[in-house]
Amino acid sequence: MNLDDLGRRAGAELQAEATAGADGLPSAASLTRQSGQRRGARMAAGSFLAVAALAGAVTLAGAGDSSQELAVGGPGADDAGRDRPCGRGVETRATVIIAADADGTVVSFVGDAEAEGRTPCIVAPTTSTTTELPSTIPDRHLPPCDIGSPTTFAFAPGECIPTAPSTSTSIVRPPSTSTSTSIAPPPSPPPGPSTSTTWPSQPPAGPVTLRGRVTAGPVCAVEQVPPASGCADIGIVANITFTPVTPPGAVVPQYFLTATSEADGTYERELSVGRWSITAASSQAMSCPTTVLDVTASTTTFDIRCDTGIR
Amino acid sequence: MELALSRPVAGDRGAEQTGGLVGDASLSQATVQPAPTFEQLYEAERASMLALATALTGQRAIAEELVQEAFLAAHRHWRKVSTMDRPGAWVRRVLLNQCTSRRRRLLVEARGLVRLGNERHAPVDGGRHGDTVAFWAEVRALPTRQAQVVALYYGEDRSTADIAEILEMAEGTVRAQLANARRSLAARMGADVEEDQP
Repeated sequence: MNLDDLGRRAGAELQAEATAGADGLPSAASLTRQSGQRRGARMAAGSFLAVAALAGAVTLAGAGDSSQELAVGGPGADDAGRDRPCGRGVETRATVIIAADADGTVVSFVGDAEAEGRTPCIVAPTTSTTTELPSTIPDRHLPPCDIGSPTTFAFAPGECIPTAPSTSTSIVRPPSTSTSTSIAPPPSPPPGPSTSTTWPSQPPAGPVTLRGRVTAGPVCAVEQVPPASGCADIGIVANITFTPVTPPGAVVPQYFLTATSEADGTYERELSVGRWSITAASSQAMSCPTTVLDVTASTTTFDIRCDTGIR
Repeated sequence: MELALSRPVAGDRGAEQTGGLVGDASLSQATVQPAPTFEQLYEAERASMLALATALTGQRAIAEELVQEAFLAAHRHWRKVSTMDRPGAWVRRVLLNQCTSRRRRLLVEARGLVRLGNERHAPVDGGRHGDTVAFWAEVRALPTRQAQVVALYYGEDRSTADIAEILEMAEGTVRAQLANARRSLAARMGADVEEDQP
């Protein structure tokens, strides 16, 4: 018996079996979707923003029907339906994106639509909750995360139809822009166990261009006066959300605007004159403040300083 | 469209498994190709990588899992991987590392089972002939690096230059590992081996 003959025969046999059995592997689209789900879980584990809990609390109903509904809120649960523990003093926050796959299938997920090869059409507002637990509770007995009363949002069909791919294998990617307009539910849902809202197709554009910089600090554990070199706040990439603030009794606008800061933290966003609630979220910072800003024709700059959590 | 690192294997197996997309270029001779999409890479490489993982693990189910994990890693780092000249080499390297990690975990488990007085049941290779099953079982018993080299050499019919690129080793080292592995395999299986190969 010659070893080379045997080896080549063993290799050929293995290849033939693998080629015949490769259909047992998931499709590329399925693998891509799985990657997106894991991305959400990694974000939770890798930062102070535990987004996975919210991912478990989001359900998309009626996909493929004439209307779509998205429920956001309620206790978090994992894929197996088990309660998802909230963590000790961990802020749970996520931006839920409703997007369409290249084949037009509407999906909800937590993560980066562009990186997942999807065309986002609706971005639900960042939802957050903070759970502070006494130190006597063992980690394994953490209570489930609860991100508030479930709220149901509905959107009309046709709002999430991506551009048709040019070939059967290409992935539709949205154009890379630093700002975006998102149709979204109102920031304060009306009273009641469940509400249904239809979004307008076109939020108004604004005449005022707001510029600024999103920074994060402290960078060093022990801050000195004057600050040591290398310890100055750093510009960060953040998702900035501009939500219109209306007086009591007024019709609540059903949209919010977003912008994404560049690597140096700078951003630019056109807004209409009025009162806006501005906040940011970034994986590079533990928390960012929410500020209500009266935007006038003379308003040009607004900086946001996020907290890294470093002390 | 040609995909780098999809060299045809013995008996034109490579051309079959990639739908005839792959030319004759070996890794070292690969010309500049347009970057493949993730889907194209997956479709072109998954069968061959499944065979590679099966050779090194001995279990189809585990191999499928590891192949998926490797491609998930590729998707996660796609912005970087897609710019590489040969993304197939990168994803193979990930797969081989996962096979190694699994092997280490099994060793730890096996030691634990021995301490508890139990023993692990050997995986069952179904369907294949006895001598080829024994061949891969002996390959898995080789030192990790030698097993990887042999799996790529016989399982994917790759040249030592290709293997050197995938494993990020010098070609001379690959030749030495392969020669040692072949001597060990021949001794264990009572087979003849030509000393001037490869």
